[in-house]
Amino acid sequence: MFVEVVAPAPGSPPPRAARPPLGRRVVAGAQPYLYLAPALALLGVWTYRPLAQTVQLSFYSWNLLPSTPMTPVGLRNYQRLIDLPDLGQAAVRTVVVIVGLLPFSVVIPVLVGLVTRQVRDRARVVYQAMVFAPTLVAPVASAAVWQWLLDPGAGVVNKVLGTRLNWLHETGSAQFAIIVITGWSVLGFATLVVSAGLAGINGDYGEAAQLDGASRGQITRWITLPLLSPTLVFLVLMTVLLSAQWTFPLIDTLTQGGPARATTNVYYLLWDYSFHSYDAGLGAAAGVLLFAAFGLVAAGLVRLSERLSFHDD
Amino acid sequence: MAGLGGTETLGRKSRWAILDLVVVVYALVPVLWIMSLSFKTTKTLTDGNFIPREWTLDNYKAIFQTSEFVRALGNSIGIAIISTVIAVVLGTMAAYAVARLDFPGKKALVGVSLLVAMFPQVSLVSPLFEIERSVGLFNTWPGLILPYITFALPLSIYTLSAFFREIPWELEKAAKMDGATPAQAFRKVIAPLAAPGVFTTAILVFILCWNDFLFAISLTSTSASRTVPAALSFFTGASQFEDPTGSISAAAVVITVPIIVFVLLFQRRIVAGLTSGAVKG
Repeated sequence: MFVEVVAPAPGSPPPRAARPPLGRRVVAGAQPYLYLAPALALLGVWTYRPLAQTVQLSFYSWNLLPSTPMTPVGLRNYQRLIDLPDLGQAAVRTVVVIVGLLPFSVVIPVLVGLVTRQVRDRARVVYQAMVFAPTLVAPVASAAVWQWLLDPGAGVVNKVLGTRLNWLHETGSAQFAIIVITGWSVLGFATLVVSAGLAGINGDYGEAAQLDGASRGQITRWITLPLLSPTLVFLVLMTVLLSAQWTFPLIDTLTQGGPARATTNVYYLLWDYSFHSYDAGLGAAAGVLLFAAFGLVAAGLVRLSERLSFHDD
Repeated sequence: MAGLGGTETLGRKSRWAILDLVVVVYALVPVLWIMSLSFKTTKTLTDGNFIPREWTLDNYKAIFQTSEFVRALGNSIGIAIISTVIAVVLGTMAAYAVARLDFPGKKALVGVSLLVAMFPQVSLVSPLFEIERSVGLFNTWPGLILPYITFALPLSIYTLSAFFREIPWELEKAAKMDGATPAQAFRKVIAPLAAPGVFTTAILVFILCWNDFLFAISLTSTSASRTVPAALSFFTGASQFEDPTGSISAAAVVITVPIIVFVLLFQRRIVAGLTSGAVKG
């Protein structure tokens, strides 16, 4: 580009005084991008690029060995996925896990949060700490302890309930056990989030309603819960998107997807495809489908939340 | 309040108390159980007693004599600390731009960064495995550190930018007017205000990396980089012929207790962090 530079008339103030020089303006304009650049670069290289590769790989057949070539197969991987019963069954089991976890990640935390709100400050902190503890236990460690609690012989659960179930090795109970263990580790986190949400609600509304003669139940139903709705939506969204992810370490250590695939949800199925079956294309296709499905659900929920949430602004 | 329906309130109160009690028992019994197991002798491991009849530290001694565990613990500590420091530094830079500066394309860039938190990680594990194998990062420290930083970034940017939005930045200007240099204004005014947020974020990121299982088992193959969660799933006990229960519970306590102590010490800050971060969003 050619720019004609007019020589400043002698005596007139340099234009610099009015506007900072181009160089500095460019630096100032680029500043936000420079701050963001390292994070964006990492995200690009380690998440978006692999994602693009997954999409690409899903149209190929390959056994993960560097020495063998990748053969293009078009949509055949997707065709196979849809023809195989695995994916559909795993999807149903995933929905079961999500629905099964909602009481632990939303219902109980809200009940506990509402109760502990009326408790004195000190006691509440202690209570929260006790409930929060399981969240901090590494999933592998929780798998170990629950394995012993659920042991068919010496396990405490059977002793207390008077049952003789082999919880983790029977098709009927394994999925239930996985949900209860996952719920155990999520409960504390969700309770903390709910308490934080409740703490953010202005107490004046409740007091005003009380003066007008509203009962405690009415206040909870018509004031507290609507104001808590952003928190609730956040928890539901997390449960839907992350349930399968939360169960993964437990399934891998406790049941390996069994017995008879009873605990194989989409997350575990995908891992199984990628690392045990040496069928990279099929795994990638399943990954793309999972990704698209979760993306759609997330978008739907975010939409819904925008319509449902009452904001205290 | 007291006079009206006293019995009803009492009944209700006791019902709530029972709910609270059940939740606490459900939450705490497994945690205490694993501690109890770790102090039991081999003989009494399976007696089902809540309080060990014979206390012993043998399980702890045994795992600290197992090179497999000691290596894994070293890997866990190193990898988690390095990932946390880098993720928080990069997150702070990004969050500063997000919270304080206005620039074209901001919304899209923020969206692109935060969206990653919703990615099903498992769908990225196998391509990451490919990439790492081809560039020689597989089964190395950086091979875990880089994905950890990346997956911690959305959380870190999200929490930090929520914190930074709450900081009264006018104070910086005020300090400069009072004669402070920009460096002084930052060090004496802004840094102390930002510290709780940075600190909370660091703890959350650390827990994320420390407890990770998926990447740890998929991107490592030997004790050169295997972290404790991955090592535990392969752990067969201090010696081949011994029941690993005692050793595994001791290892589980060793990796859990530091985190619990850490979080309990700083619980108030973390709750504050969640209040301004995750919920108000």
